[in-house]
Amino acid sequence: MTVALHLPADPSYAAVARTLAATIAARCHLTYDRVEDARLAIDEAFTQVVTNAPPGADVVCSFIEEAGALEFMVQSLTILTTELPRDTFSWTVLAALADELHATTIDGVLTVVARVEEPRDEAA
Amino acid sequence: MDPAARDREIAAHIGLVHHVARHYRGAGDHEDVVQAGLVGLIHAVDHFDAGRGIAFSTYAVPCITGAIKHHLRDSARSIRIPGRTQELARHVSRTIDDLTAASGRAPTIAQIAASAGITQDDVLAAIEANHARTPMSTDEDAGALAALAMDDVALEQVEDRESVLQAMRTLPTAERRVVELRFYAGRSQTQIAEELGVSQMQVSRLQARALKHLRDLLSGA
Repeated sequence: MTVALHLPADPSYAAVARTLAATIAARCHLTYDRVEDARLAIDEAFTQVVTNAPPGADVVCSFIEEAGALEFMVQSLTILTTELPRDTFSWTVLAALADELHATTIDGVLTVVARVEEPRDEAA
Repeated sequence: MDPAARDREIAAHIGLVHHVARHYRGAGDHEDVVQAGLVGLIHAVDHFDAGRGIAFSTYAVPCITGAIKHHLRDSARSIRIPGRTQELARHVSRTIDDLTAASGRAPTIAQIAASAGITQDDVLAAIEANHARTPMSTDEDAGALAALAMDDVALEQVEDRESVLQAMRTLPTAERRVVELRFYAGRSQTQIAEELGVSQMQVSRLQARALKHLRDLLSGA
């Protein structure tokens, strides 16, 4: 199941993305700590994308709902001409929160994809 | 006083805080009241003058009481969350910790809802409310976690290392500790709660607040 949300590239809309992330994370049967991780991760990813977006851009947040895993993508037009730097505090935080993390800058579009999942051996 | 002796003094008189805090049961979140009381105790340990011939407890109790009252006045001024939601958040917080203690892992939202006898939407509302709670002041956060040893943060990978370290130093002790454990030592929120002896929802709150603070500082906002 995929759920998508279009938001203005404005940091104050991060709260909307966070709330939706928590709701979908609950539907994925994630445990409480992972739900909080998903909330923080989308917040961080959204902020990264918005910070690098041109004025007036739209941000697309889409969520893929699975049993035991939530994958989300945050995407927008970007002013970046290179890849999103990996040597920042923000990236360190995202990498710690997410089990998988990718970011690409292709043809003026920045995309951050992250996946938060339950540890497989413990999954009920 | 050397730091180890100071920590021992604080630990030796923690009972005083709980004693005073009991008088304020029902007046605000008890966990926060205890934290505020600890700040009062630390102040007392730092400022007590044995030469004046009064007992430590005689000096400390008014300090603790004052810190708690100050905290309650502050939080009363800025409460924005309806009482029912706050009660819900406390109920959810206890349920999460109880279920974690019973099973050894954090519960899902559905499990929390079933155990607490509320809907999943209520659990999610409680999670939101937890983050909307009145921030404690810098001093109050220092409370129970102040005595913890601070590790050097491993930031070799981070280019803006110096500015991150500088920003980290402006965080209240508890928030800084949570950031270190979560993002550099790779602990889960559940493990941190257990290690620090606080609720998981408190850890969530501290880490979210710390990240926002760091982000604002690092982006120069």
